Amino acid sequence: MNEFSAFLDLLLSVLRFSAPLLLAALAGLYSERSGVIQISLEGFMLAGAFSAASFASLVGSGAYGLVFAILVGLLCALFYGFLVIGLRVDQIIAGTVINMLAWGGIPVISKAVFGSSASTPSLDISVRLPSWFPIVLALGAIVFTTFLVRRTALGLWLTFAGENPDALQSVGVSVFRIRWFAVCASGVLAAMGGAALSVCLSSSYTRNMTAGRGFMALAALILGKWRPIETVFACLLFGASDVLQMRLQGASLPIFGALPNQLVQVLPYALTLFLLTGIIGRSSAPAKLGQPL
Amino acid sequence: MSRTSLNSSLFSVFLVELLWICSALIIGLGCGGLVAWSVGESPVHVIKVILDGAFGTAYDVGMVIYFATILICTGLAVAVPLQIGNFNIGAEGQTLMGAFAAGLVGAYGPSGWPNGFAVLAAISAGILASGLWGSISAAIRSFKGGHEVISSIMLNFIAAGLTSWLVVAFFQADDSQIPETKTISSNYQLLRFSIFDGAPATMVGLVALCVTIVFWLFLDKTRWGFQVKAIRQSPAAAARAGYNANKSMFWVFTVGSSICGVAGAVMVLGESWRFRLEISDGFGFLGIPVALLGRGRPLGIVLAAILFAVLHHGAMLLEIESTKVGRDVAQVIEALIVLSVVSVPPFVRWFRTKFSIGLQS
Repeated sequence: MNEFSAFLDLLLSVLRFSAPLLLAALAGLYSERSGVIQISLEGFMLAGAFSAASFASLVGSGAYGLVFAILVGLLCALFYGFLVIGLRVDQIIAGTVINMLAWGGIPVISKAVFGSSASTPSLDISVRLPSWFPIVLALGAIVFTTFLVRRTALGLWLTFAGENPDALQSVGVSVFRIRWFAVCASGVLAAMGGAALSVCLSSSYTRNMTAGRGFMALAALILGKWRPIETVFACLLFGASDVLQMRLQGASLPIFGALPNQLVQVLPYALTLFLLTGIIGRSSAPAKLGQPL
Repeated sequence: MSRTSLNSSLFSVFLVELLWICSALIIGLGCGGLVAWSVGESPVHVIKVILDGAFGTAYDVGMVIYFATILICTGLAVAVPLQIGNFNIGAEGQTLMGAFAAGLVGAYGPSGWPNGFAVLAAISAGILASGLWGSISAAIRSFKGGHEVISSIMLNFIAAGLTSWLVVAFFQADDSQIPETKTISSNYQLLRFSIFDGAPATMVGLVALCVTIVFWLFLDKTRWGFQVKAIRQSPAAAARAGYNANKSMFWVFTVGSSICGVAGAVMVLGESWRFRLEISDGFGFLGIPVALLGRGRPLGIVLAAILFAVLHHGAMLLEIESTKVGRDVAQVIEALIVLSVVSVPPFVRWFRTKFSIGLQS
């Protein structure tokens, strides 16, 4: 029984770790399926995490913090969309710029509002959202996304916008609108993932708290071959390797001996890299990924 | 076309480009000032502090030279592959690997070698390591078609994990509490110019300038440089001419990323005298904006690297001199400058078509 509860505990912590990542990966899925490279997930997540924590501490409600984060995420996405869809700036450059703005801009705002560039004020336990909440959010996002992609016309249009935009245009559907929708959905979901980190899983925003999760989400998306269910499993793999490397600190396993935890953490990235080489299966991107209309 | 008209048209292209970069700089700095003003700090004060922080003492000037040396190298590492249309976002990981290799050679290499030779050996090790690391992305891109941006991001993470494991498991210094290798032997240390009060400004700065010139000569004056440009601008024509695009991409990317080895070696041999985790500290990443701002031109990259070095080092003084704005504002200004560089031309295009201003260029 004791072992069972320990296992359950492990499972829950894997789910908690994966949830923000999942939201971000699904965010990337919308955008990339529609043909817009989404390298700025990291920036969106940071913006979401910071705005949720700061708004929550200003008004004293975690839920409002989350709502505010979603609005900020939408705003960031509109900016990104203006750059890459409106002005047709190179998508990787635009994404890099957004990330730089988030890395540099958030500490500046934080210092101006709270007098510290390192973190926002600590949230009271009553203000924070419960730590199971991100799991529910992620689950909702998974169900919604899977249904949308597989069962609706919009899902089909999304795929066509990335694979063959001309065909979509010729049947009278605006590729611009589809891509705008996809980028906005991406901003909202990624900001939710960031907010989950700051107001659900911890008690404040700390400097660079996403620690590369936006890029990790991108890796998971590729590992999941740009499909919803596979992406979910990829995220769980990343979450599990994260939890394992924390739990295994120096513990020795029966077969491998003491497993160096840095290598356990690197494993999913190595797996993604291998997938890119085509040695273990192939992950092919949407055909028109990165090409503006 | 007569020679004079060719020259004058080249000159006007140059003028348009200059105008464009200058306006981008002004817009970027202006928006940065707006940010400072909106958080209640005088923009003039911020700029004064940054300039003072960058040029106030001989030591500061030395630091700017040190940072500029690194940024020229990482900027080149991004700019060179960009010439053939590949985006090297992995300079961070490549720099880390280069620094690690240079640190190992410095710490465990023979301590009897004369200074010049020892330094050369360590830098070569760095170049080799960075080049090898970059060649993974290059091979995946050119021979398997996997996107180089994605593989570079993965390799950045893997480089961080790998060096962290190697240092902790095998090369941990006995005299240190944090994960780092032992101090390099004194003959591997780069000599610092004495006029900069001990700042790590070294001869490598000049070497970086030379590398930039070599890169320009390669692109503008050789057959291979022509191939590179042809492949980027017109893949079909290049294929018809018999150029092997995949092979060229592989080598250009690999050579480009190996320049990161110089940056990594400078960090270890010039400044910290040992390899520690996170020594690359975002400089590899900053190579991207430097390359973009430099427009792939040698002079442009050098000037962009100096500008970013000034911003980076100068802004540190803000931590003391301002209660409202910290050194992070430097990154905001850098991002805004790059943003205006890339969005001014499409904006102008949009403006022209909107109001149909017929300007030939």
